[in-house]
This record gives sequence, structure tokens and C-alpha cells, in this order.
Amino acid sequence: MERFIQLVFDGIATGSIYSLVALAIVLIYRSTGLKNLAQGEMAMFSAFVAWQFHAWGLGIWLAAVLAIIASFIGGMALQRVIIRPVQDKSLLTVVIVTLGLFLAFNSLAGGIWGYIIKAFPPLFPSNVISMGAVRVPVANIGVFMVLVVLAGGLAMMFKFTKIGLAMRAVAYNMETSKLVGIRVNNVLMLGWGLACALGAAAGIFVAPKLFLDPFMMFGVLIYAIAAAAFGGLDSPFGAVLAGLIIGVVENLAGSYIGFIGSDLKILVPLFLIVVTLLFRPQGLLGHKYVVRV
Amino acid sequence: MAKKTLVRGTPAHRSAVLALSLLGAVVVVAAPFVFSGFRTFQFTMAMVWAIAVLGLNLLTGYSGQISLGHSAFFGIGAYTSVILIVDHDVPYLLTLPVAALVCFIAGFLIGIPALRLQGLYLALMTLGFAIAFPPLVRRFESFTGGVQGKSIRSSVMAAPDWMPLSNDQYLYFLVLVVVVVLFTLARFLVRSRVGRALTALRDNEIPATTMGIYPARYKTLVFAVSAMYAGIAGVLYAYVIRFVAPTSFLLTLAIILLAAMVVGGLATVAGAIFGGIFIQFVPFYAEEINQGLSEFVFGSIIIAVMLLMPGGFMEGFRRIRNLVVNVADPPVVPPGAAPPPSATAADEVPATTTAG
Amino acid sequence: MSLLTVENLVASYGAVRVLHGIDFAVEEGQVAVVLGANGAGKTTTLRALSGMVSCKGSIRFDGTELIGRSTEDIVRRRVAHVPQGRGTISQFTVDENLQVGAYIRKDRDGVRDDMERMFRLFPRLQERRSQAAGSLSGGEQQMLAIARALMMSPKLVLFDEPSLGLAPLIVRDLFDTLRQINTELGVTMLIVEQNAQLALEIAQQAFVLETGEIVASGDPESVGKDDAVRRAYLGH
Repeated sequence: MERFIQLVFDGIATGSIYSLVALAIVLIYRSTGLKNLAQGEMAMFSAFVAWQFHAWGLGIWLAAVLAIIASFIGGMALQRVIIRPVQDKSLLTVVIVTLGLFLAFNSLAGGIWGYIIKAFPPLFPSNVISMGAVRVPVANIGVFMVLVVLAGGLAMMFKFTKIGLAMRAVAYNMETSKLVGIRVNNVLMLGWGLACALGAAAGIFVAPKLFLDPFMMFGVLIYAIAAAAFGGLDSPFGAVLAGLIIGVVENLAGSYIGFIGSDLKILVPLFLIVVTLLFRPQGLLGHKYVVRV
Repeated sequence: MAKKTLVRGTPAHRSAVLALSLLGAVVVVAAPFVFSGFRTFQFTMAMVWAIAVLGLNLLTGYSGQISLGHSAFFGIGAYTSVILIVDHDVPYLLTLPVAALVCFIAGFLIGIPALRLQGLYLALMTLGFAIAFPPLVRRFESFTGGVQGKSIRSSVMAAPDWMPLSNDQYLYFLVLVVVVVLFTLARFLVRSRVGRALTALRDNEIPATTMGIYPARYKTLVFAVSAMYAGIAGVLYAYVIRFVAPTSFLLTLAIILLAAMVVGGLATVAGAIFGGIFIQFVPFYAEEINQGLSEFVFGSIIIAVMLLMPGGFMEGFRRIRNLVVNVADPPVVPPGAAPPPSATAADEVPATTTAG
Repeated sequence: MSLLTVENLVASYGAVRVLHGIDFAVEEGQVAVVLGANGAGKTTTLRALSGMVSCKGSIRFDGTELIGRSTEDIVRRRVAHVPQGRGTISQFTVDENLQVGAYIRKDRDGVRDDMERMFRLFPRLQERRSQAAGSLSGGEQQMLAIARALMMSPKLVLFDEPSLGLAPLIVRDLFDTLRQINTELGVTMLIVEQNAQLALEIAQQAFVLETGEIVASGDPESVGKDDAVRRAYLGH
């Protein structure tokens, strides 16, 4: 039993990571209608930026905040320069462009910082809280709290603020949004900026756990996409919940099902994606819209 | 000097095309005797990549589906061939049809969800497949050789004694034969009824369905064919490189194939050749400057091409050709004839509302 | 001075010219209707007014030139546009559609009052406040689109074929509502219609557009009596 609880707690910890990246994917989808396949790589890049600031002598929290701000600005610039010209083109074009970003960020990080794995300084104290035989590191709780705050904040923004309403409107229907006076291009830019800032936070908070290297997000990306698809691409809470579920299921499956072990855990999200897409394409908490034409 | 106009199908146009093709054929056959063994090896690899790019283009360019899983199909082809050669002493030429069949079936199975998935969801699923492939290979170590990989002894792949060719030259011509066969097949495919049905589906699924084209059947089929092309490219890769390891078939390979496809030109058969050259030679020169640079160049070029020249290399080729000579379609299209497959997915413009 | 003055308006999609220099003016507080067959350039005229198609000439609205301004800028000068195909956000609820309609307004109390007013005007929408717009019937969606446009407290509303695809009874209701909105709220309207009869009934001004040119204009009665118009648009 204690082993089970321990595995669940550990699963929640890894699940929090998936959820954070999934949140960024959901944010960009909800605010721009796009799915950015380069999200993970951009998060990785931001984590490197934070590492660099720290290496230059800044405190780690300050470095993190600066990197998040830089990512916000960088995301807006990226939207302006690269995404806007293809925004109205076919899905294929947009996907290919985000894949171009994927390659570019991955190799840029490798080119600048090298391919040797780096340790990322911890953001939380390294104590471990013991409850009976179950041990939970403070860092895990910290990451989970960050996740809850960000997801809650995001959901509130979408639901209750004017800018949130505008973001959703733009994602659903650009022409009508223009007709009610929303400055569509600014909203899209803001959406990318926010998503990149959120992605940066995700990258920075997971970096101490995963260590820093250009490929750190390869594995996470597939889990995050699984979480976003499974939870519903337009639902922040769905993405968080799904990320946590995937983390826990993966951990349990890896430990209790001998065949899976630690290296075939990756089949768990893959399986989830397939099943979700086949049987409930809108995801667990996503909306399915019926449109009369 | 006034520019000439060549009309497609006229004797003048045909003889121009024939002359250029002959010239091309002479260059291609002469190349391995003119260039060094290493250059010949590079040309061979460019052709290998071209096959995989062509396979992807059949899927993406002509049917509008996005696969990020072609690195895995490529890997399956390569592994099938190597395992059969090394562990089961199968003559290497025989492994090609076997691996092709394996990849066709694998593609068919993965393609079945394409019955229900559209656009990005297929991309997501295949993305998962691409990410999962290397860990799977590592996992079944006894079968695949695990992290260390597997290699073929060089003597196995040597040129037959009766041929007056070096090993590099032999492989070059071996791959060339496969390239010619597969490119001819692809040309035939895209011009056939099936090809036209796919293009109709890509451009507009619902009207195509009402014309009696069944999306699911064609989509699954094209996915399988596309996977087969990637698998055959993988086999040839194994012939030439004689070594496979999980790290050779990462997701980045799938993205690079996609990049090469875009650069060569979506929905063009000939553009794949350029894509193959691109994959082989860009890293070769870029990596002299910096290890990470080649992929950065790839990434930047994809974006630049999509922004500036969505038709890719083939569009550039046409633009340059049009500086010299105009090529026009015959003026009258006989009733019932299919429109020329000229539009590419990247050319799509947002539909404008009709004037009221 | 007229609220809207259009002079020598030329618009094209790519190489195809759709409007060949049209002139007309709409007086403040009035309902103007533009009649014309399919392809005459009616939709293009409205899209030009909203800055959604590139055009030349002059569009003066409330003292400012609109040509060269972005759609968002024009909307912020209180020009509402109800496009063909409703122009609501189908994934949004009725409530959210009304909220987003008032996006450019800063006066929260005014917005709340206007929302109540819309629900009085369109009781059916109140019943369906929390339903997704896409799930409403065609008539209800059109009502919502109109309410959405009114939420920005516009000076001018452009309607693109509001009766398109609606049942005859509902169309009559719709025009009654439009008349009511015009008289009660004093909103100026420019309506593009193929359904000439009903449109002429509520209008104070009428224009006939044919292949990109205005061929007749004046008060609805005289335009309605014009033989060519009768044959083409009134069916007798």
C-alpha cells in the first residue's frame, strides 16, 4: 500500500511537468487557434536562457523571472515576424512552420550551450517531507503548487477577463472578432507571448528535475500533447487533470506491469492519444461544438 | 529577342524535354566515374533521402496528411534489412522487398486511424510513433542490438566480381535503379485515377466524397505506400551505411524529411531529388562551421521557404525556366478531362466571400 | 450633412473589379436599402465600408475618411456590420456573444443595461442565454447577430442580406424588429437585400446596384415604382 501511495505521489510530480507544458499548448490553442509543435523546444530554450542568467551571477529566482519576461517578448516577436505571414494559410503551412521552429530552437540551444547535460540549480529547498514511509520532496510540492496557480489563473483569465474573452473570440472566429473591434493581430501576439512565458515557466520548473540539455523536452512533449489531447485542447483544467493522470498511470504501469518497465512508459501516452482521438476526439473535458450551417 | 512559347504535348516541347532528359541521364550515369568515391557515396545517400522524401510527398503533398512518423518507417525498413542480413543470412537484395512489405503493412496499420483522424491529429499520433520508436528499439535488445546497434560486414555489400565497379559505384547504381523504378511508379500513381482522387480529397473532402471517392480507403492506402517508400529508403540506407542504431532514427529525421519535402516543392515528384540533395549536402557544409548549425539551417530554411517561396525549389525552377522560355498548356481542354494537378496545398488562399 | 457619404468607390478582388465608382449617401437616423441581384457588388460595398476589401475613392463617415483604415478602427468609430452567415461566434454562448459585441465599450453599466434591452427586444435569446450560438435556429442566430451588433451602441449598422435562408414568417418578424430598432434606438441602418418588397417597406432611402454601378436611387416609393426594378426585384 505504501509503495502504491509513493508511486502515486511520484506520478503526480512527473504529471505536474506534463501538465505545465500541456497548459502552454492549450493556451496557444485557445488564444490563437493554432497548435504549436515547437512549444516544448521553446520551453527548453527559455530554461537555457534562465540558466545563462544564473551563470552570469543572478539569483536563480531573478534569473527565472527575467527569462520568463524575455520569453514573453520573444514569443510576441516570433508571432509578428514568422507566424503572422502564414496565419491565414493552410494548416499544413502553419504546422510546417512550427516544425521549422522546432528544429531551429533545438539546434540553436545545442549550438549555443552545447550538448553536454547541465545541472539546473534548484528553485525549491531540497528537504523531503515524510509521511510514514511515503516521502515527498518539497520541490515536487512546489512544482505542483506552481501548476495549480498557473492553471487557475489561466482559467480565470479566459473566463472572467475581457482580454480572455477576446482571445477566445479570435481563436474561434477571426472575422467576427474584427467586426466587434478586437485588434486581432495584437491579441494573437499577446497569446503567443503569454504561451511562451508559460512555456518558459514550465521549462524552468522542470529543468532541475530533468537536467538541462537540448533534448530534455523530447519525451515531455509527447506526454504534454497526450495530456492536451486527452484533457481537451480547449480546457486548461482538462489538460492539467490529464497530465496528472498520465503521470500517475505511467508510473504505476511502469512499476506493476513487468513488460512495460521504465523504458516502455512512453507507450502509455501514445496509447492514450490513440484511444482519445478515436473515441472522444474533443478530449475528456473539451467541448464538442455543433454548428448549424 | 522574343521569348519562345512551348506548348505542352507539341513535338517542340517533347523534343526539348527529351533532350534535357537525355542530358540528365548522361550526367547521372557519368557522375560516379568522374567524381571521387566519397562524392559518389554522397550522391548515393542523396538518392536514398530522395526516396524517403518522395514517399512523404505522396502523403503530404498529394493527400494533405502530415506524418511525423516517417523516421520510424525509415528505421523499420533499415532494421528489417539489417536483422535479416546479419542474423538470418538472407541475401541482401531479398531483404528489400521483405522490408518494403513490412513497412507497407506497418503503414497500413498506423494509417487505419487516418480513417478517423484529420489534419493535425494524425500528425500528433505519428509524432508519438516517431518519439516512441527509438526507446522501443532499445527495449528489444536481443532482437535489435539495443543501444549499440547492429552493423553489416563490408564484404556482404561488396560489388559482384563480374562487375567492373568499385563498391561505391556499385551501390550508386543499385540505388539509382531503385530510384528510377520508384520515381516512375510515383509519377504513374499521382497521374492515375487514385492520384487524382487523392488530390480531390486534399482540396475538398466533402465534395470529393459526393463524387464517389471514399476518403478512408484512399487515405489508408496512400499512407501505406508512403511508409513503404520510407522503408525502402531505410533498406538502402542500411546497404550504404551498413550500421543501424536507435539514434539514427530520431524525430528530427522525420522533421528533416518534411523540411526537404517543403524545400523541394510540395506535390512535385521531381522536387524530391532536390530535397534529397538538400538533406545530404546542407549538414555536410553547415557542420564544418558548427555542430548544431545544420539543423538550425534546416529549420530556418523551412520557415523561409514557407514564407517566401511556398512552392519550394520546383517553383524556383519554374520561375527560372520562365525567364528563358514560356511553357504553356494546350489551349483547349477536351470536355471531361481532368484539370492539370498544378495547385499545391501551400498555394491555397483563404476563400474570399463572393460578391453579393 | 449625411452621416455616411460614399463617393466614387472602386473595389476589386485581385484583378477583378467589382465596384466601378459608386456614389451614395445615408442620412442620420434613416434606414437605407441597397437592392441588387447576386454578384451586383452588394456584399463588396458593405465589406468596403468595413475596411475588409481594398478600395479607392472616398467613404466619409461622421466627418472622418474611412478608406485606408483597418476594420478594427472603423468598428471603433461605431460602425457595426452583420455579415452574411450571421457573424456570431458559434462556440460562444448567447451571453458571451453579447459581451464580446460590447468589446469596445468601457461603460460597464451601459453594457449591462443594453444587455437587458436586447433581452427585452429578443425574448427568445434570454431563454437561451447559456446555450452555444451554433445550436440556435437560423432565425435565432440572426437575432443574436443583430443584438451582437447593437451591443456596441453603433451609429451605423450594416446588414448583409439579413433575410437569407430564413422562413418567410420569420423574415417578416425580422423586418418588424429592424424597424423597431430604428425608431426606438435611432440607429442608422444600411441594409443590403434581395428581398426587395419588405426591405422597401421599412426604408426611407433606396439604391439599386447592378454589376457594380448604382442605376437608380431615391425614396423607396419611386424606386419601387421603377419598371426595371419591379421586373428585376419585385417579380411583377
